[in-house]
Amino acid sequence: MVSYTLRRLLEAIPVILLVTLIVFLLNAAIPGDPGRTRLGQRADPASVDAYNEARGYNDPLPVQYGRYLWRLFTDFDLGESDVKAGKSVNEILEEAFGVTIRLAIFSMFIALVVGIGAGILSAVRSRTWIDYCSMLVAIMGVSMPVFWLGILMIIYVAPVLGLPRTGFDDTDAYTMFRSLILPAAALGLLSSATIARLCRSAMLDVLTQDYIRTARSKGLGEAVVVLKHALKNAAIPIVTVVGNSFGYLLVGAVLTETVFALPGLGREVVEAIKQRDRELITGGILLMSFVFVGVNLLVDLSYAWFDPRVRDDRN
Amino acid sequence: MTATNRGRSPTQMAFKRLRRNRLAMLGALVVMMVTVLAFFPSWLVPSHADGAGPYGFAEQFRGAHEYQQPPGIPGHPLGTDELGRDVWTRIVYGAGISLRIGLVGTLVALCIGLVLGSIAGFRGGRIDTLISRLTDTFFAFPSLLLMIGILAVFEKPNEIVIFAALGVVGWPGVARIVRGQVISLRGSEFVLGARALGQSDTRILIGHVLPNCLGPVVVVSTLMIAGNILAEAGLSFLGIGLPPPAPSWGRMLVDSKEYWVDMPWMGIFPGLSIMITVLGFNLLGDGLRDAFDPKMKD
Repeated sequence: MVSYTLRRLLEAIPVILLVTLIVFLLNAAIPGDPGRTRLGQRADPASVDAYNEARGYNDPLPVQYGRYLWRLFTDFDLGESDVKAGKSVNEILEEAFGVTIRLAIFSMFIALVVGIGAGILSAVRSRTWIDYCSMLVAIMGVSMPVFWLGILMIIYVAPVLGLPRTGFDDTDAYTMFRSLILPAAALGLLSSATIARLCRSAMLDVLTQDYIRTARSKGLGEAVVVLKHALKNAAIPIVTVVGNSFGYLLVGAVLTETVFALPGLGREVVEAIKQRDRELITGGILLMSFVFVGVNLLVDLSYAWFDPRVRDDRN
Repeated sequence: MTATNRGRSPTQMAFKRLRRNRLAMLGALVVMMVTVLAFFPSWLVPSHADGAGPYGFAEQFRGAHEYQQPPGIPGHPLGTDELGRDVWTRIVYGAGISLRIGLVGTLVALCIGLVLGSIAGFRGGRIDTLISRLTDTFFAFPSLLLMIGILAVFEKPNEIVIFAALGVVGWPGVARIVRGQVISLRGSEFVLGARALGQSDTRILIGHVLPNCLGPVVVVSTLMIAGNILAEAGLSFLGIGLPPPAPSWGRMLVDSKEYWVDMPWMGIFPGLSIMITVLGFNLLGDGLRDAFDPKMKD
């Protein structure tokens, strides 16, 4: 397991380097003069040029990339916002990321409970109306844009439950919970659709295996057979889809934040695009990609943990 | 040989299975309906969605009674929006945008993915490692964010920019599948046979290997169209897709933001259109997967 982990970590290095290169190139390609954006339209050309010179924006691209990497890997410095005076990108993203990650974890929880629950139920009661209904709901969920479900919740659910329609309030845990519940439900329910579909087919696969018949013939209760013997063996595809859904959740969070006016990472990046704040745009993309790479790595490692055969595969 | 027991190719058998799948046929029906809306909008609605005319901008100057009217008033089956434009007209014209972006974005991804995936799979070795690492890298980006980054480079994104962005984000998925298929077919007997006949690599690849990868590629493309339609709607919803007054469904939703609660039809119908269209492609794609790969079916 240790050598497998090390190998996977080593393999992630070139990917991370390429990710930084692509993000750097995007940054360089975004139009606009950083000094001009920062100092305003009326600044004289000499001071704009001095600003760019001082920050190294006039250096050749490879030199800039080297410096970018150095800053990134020595103290994860994502630079300074071109628009928000004096604020570092790290500061802005830290605050916003807190909101996004809370939203993502909260919705992941909803997605897991609903998705695995519905998946198991559909598999155990396969080809009954429970199965057909939950699978119909699931495929509708896969096809529904998260922002539209959000809109429907704002229109129809918020007034009924007396929840705030939009906005984020973190004065205390309760108000924060209240402002996150609808966005998390919208995002989580849609991800649960994918999880439910996969969980169902993985469980159906396992439930026909011989060892399940053995477990039943030993006289074990149905709950033990399903939850202990079957679910554990169906775990690999489920873990993969859960890991992938976490990435989807981060992306969905961007859209959900816009619907519910939450001050998260997605909203910061979208605002940054409208204001041409390139350090903030690329900083946000880079941060999300790193999280994404990290989650995928964890998914792969958990693969190996669940199924020892994966570790030995030397392909 | 009689008609009843004549041989069928695997593709014919797959289509037979597809025709028996009711949900997939429902999906195909939805896809056909959206295609009709997209190609012949003037059959259903009298004027262009963003221009002047009885349903366009000009309407707002004709008196307040035409703005923000609920569904069902004469001439406006789905109501009118904040500028007095007919919601149904805009939805019909929006189908064209959605479908075009879904299809062309997928085609771009297919072209890049097919070329890179088949080279990686067929050649193997160092070029395979290189392409596979590149694929991994693109998978490392959350797709929507990468598209946001690409669109940020352009002052005013047009459809071509969006096609390209969808292609850049979508190709790794195609490349990975094609590479896997090509590797599994590379050593098969018909390839050896073609090689023994002295055919060139390119000819073997295009003439023998790629046609045999068609099933999975068709499946992934259909599902990708659905994903691209959702992605375009998402980008428009974030306000960074096609600029107004294009009647993109996502744009219609975000433009009516202030009215969702009091005039819900502006927030409901464009979203419903997105869902029905995407559902159609997803049902068809699922059906195709079951038909081409019966083992996948539970």
